[in-house]
Amino acid sequence: MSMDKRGQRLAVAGAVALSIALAGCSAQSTQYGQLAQATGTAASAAQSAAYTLSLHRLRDLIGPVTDTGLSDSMTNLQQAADSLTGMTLTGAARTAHDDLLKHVRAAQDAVLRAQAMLQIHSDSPVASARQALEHAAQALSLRESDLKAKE
Amino acid sequence: MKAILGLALGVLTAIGGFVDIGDLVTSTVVGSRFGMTLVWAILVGMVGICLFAQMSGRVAAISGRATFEIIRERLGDRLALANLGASFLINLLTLTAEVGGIALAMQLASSIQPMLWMPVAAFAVWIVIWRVKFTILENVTGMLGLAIVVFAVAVFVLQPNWLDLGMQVLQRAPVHSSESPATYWYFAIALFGSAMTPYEVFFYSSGAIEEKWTKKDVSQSRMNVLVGFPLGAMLSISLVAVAAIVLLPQEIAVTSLYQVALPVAQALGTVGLIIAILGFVAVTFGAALETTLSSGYTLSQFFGWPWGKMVRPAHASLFHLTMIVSLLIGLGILMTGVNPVQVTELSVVFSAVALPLTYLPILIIANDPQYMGKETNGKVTNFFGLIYLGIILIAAVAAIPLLIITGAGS
Repeated sequence: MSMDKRGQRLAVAGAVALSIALAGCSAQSTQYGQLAQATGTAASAAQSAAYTLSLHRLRDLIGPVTDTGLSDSMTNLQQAADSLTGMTLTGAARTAHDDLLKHVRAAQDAVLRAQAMLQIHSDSPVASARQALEHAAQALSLRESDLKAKE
Repeated sequence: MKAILGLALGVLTAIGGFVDIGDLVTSTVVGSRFGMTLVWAILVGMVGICLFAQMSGRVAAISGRATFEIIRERLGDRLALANLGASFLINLLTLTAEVGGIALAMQLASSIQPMLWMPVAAFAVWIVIWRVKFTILENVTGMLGLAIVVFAVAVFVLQPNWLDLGMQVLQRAPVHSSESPATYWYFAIALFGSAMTPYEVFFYSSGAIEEKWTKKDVSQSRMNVLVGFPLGAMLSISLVAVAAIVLLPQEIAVTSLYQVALPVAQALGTVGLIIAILGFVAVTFGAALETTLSSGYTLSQFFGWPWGKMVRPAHASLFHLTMIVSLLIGLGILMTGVNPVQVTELSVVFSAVALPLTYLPILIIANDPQYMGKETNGKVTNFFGLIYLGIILIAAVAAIPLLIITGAGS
């Protein structure tokens, strides 16, 4: 009888521990999912801005399209940054978050720099902004894949 | 000669009129995320719209009466009201998306914020409907919409790997493993919904009454639909293709109208880009005219008010008032700051939800000898009509759950 009770207690304790572990995993998985979504948005926006600048350099775009492209990319990067800063994260996800935010901020800076340079019709610094955007897009894209794998 | 010119004009107008903001956005989003794997959904939607558009055109030409007038008489107030409610609301959402689309297209030509263009666009739509003749309105926007052909040209100039592109068409799974099957099916329904948008049928059948079609116009109408719409669908496929060739490898997910134009700029430079922007303005403006008129058509035909561009405005005041109020509601929605691209994405999915209520009554009436005489549907048309009703029902039932599960495809 006492063995039965002990067995029951062990089973309950095991179930509780398993539930906590599963809940922990699930919460972690949700966190990675949220991070992956924001990262994907930022990577796409950064890449889009870089592509816009490369077409601009080849004189394939008209001014309003370049302006709209950079402004829309900025909006999407800001949305991703807001989404990242609004997250409450724990553990490894927290570390990943800080790294992601650094790359999103770098992309935002590059877009701002490009916008400023285009206003004074200066092309050479725009090339460096494009490179910075490509670098940020690549880094974010790699991290998005990692996050999706962990999800 | 005049007949041939009329036919050519009808076909060209149908090609240019097939594409609207829903096709521009949905096709490019799909191409940038799924490559060519969802082209089948455009083809399925294209066959469906051909089937039901020629059916509704025939009903109008033979009976000489408008769709909603017959639906109410034949199916009773309740079913007709459900049909009207769904159709009118979806049409309003589509109208909102089209006016937003004009503003986005004008931003690409001017750098001026879309919010400032929206009232201008709504006013321009109203003034054109008020002042311009129906045939001019239909033909000019349809012809200018042909500028979208620049996307088909861009596909060839980009010199893709045709084998790879062809293999993607046959592929039954997303190109990127990161896209879930639910998202794949969500966008399949969105593409299907954008091809079969209900307003196209209301506008087509009401236009038949406006242009006083008779039995002898049925064959020309069939030609317009069966040649013009498939060629229009080819333009949608070109949009998917350029996005699959240029944007997919760079992992650029389309969220703005300017991204739709980038592959054309790469292929054809600024000249191609300017033609593409002209095409954007033309197709969105044309569709805004059609959806605005459709809002007037649907309500007026249901309630039996005098309607039509041929009727003097003083005699069709409620018809004109409906259009003005619809434009103001659409403008009001846009002025809240909502993203027109998101409105477009939602409008095509909700179109899919409303499809059974739109197309079932047309199929019933096209089979009723009381209205159609000897021109009722043949066995083949009915066979395909029933198959399509099945597809439409499945799409309508699955649309909302998929919208929720995928977070609107995000």
